[in-house]
Amino acid sequence: MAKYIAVIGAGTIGKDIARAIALAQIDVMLYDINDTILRRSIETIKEDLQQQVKQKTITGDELKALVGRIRPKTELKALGHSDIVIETTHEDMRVKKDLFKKLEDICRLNTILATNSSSLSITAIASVCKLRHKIVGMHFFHPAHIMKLVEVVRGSETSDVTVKAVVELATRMGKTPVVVGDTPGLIVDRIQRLYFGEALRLLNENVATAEEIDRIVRLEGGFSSGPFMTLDQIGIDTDFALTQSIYNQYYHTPRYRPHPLQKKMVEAGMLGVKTEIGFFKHERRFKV
Amino acid sequence: MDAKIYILGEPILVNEYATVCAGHGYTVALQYTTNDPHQLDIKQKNITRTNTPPKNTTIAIELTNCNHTQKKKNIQILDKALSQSAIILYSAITITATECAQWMKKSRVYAGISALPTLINNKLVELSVPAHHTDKGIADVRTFFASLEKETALVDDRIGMVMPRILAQVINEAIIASIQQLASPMAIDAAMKLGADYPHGPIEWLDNITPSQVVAVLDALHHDTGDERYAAAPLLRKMAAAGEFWKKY
Repeated sequence: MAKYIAVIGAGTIGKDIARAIALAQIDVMLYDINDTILRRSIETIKEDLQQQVKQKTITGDELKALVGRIRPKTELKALGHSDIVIETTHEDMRVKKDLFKKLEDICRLNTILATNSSSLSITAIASVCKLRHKIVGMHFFHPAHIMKLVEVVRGSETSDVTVKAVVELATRMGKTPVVVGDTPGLIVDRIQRLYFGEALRLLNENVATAEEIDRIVRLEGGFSSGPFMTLDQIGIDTDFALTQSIYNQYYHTPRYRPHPLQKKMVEAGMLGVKTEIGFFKHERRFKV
Repeated sequence: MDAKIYILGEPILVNEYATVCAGHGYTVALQYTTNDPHQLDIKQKNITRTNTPPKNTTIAIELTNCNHTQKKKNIQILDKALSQSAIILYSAITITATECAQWMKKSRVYAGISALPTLINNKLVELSVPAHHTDKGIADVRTFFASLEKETALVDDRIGMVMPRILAQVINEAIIASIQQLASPMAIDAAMKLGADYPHGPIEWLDNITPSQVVAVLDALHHDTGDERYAAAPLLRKMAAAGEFWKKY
């Protein structure tokens, strides 16, 4: 059973994964090269948990214990004795390959190296490593401390032992691990290209307005949120970048073709909730 | 309820619409115009089977997605047999409402509906009106669906409408992922429900909607747009050809 877990990258997803691990009463090292980001992330977790203390869903002692399980690190070498390292750096193959090379030099021979990537090939990342059987994908969903799914990605040379260890960790974290093959977008992000892509085409063809399409998908399809509200929440630029990446990796298969409407919105800076305008207008609840 | 409903077409859809209408107090006469095993074990008193359109029909609902020759025949029979005051609603997801309207001679209220198996069990029905037709009578259609506790959304008259088009694409992609053995069908369903908050997994949806209906929507979209993105997965087509047989595997 994996005991020492490390997360690389204290951005939104890395912070939430570390929190999810700590929530399962497992100690976790959270690494970031930038000390300010690292401290701010832990502060954010604390502030969020303090709200829960106020709402009496957790106690002050539980908060202290949970935050105490997250150990900030700014030296990569400190992760050397980890059983599993989960990296969450940005989606750049060169960055990931460099990192995995370094990690292989630093870590123990049996350390499992996992990436949170959904759009880059695990097999390609593993190509720079000597022990490719211990390279695996562990794709969490946002927000990682709440969403139950973890896509466990088996690369061409990933061993059964590696997959089993990662599945076991996800299960201990209270997640539902689903083992998937190494393909651009994995399962969820790949199928979502069709869901969002078709909604964008319907809008562009004036079959219905964004409001009406969302209403139809919620009331006729039974979804909790419509595609355009979801896109606004994800970030239209984030989703567009993912679509482009999947489209390119599939050698321009028409099913994954990005839509010009989405590109236009990205160029216009209409990115959704984060810019207060996307397919819908959004007002920040607290204006500074 | 005073309205007399006559529902004809593919059994899987006829049964769902008959059950919903009868459940809301309507007197329903139904007729299957294709042979498939989805025959309704009629227990409700206000549902009867018929072989001809009852003369006193006030609302007729034509539900054929997979066979346009049969659909044309059904709509022509309805138009000829029913009085001008009878409303005719027809599924308009594999053929446009405009094309179906060409088959009718009488001036009457008619509209296309988004009839795909299982969707009537939800809270909204999409409506479309032919290009040359005004939406003057659409208020009566909306009132009818409101009596079934369904909201309505008037959308442009396009193949697939909104939800059937999105759903067919999602299911097709899940089947392609399944052919490529990227994950088991159960894992695909679990992933979409937990990772993207889907109310049903795509394979679970396929099971209920049936492969022949999904292929009919995709083929119609492919034919309409000429876009390869709507090409049905070979396995999906094979499942549709196998009918109920594929479920055994």
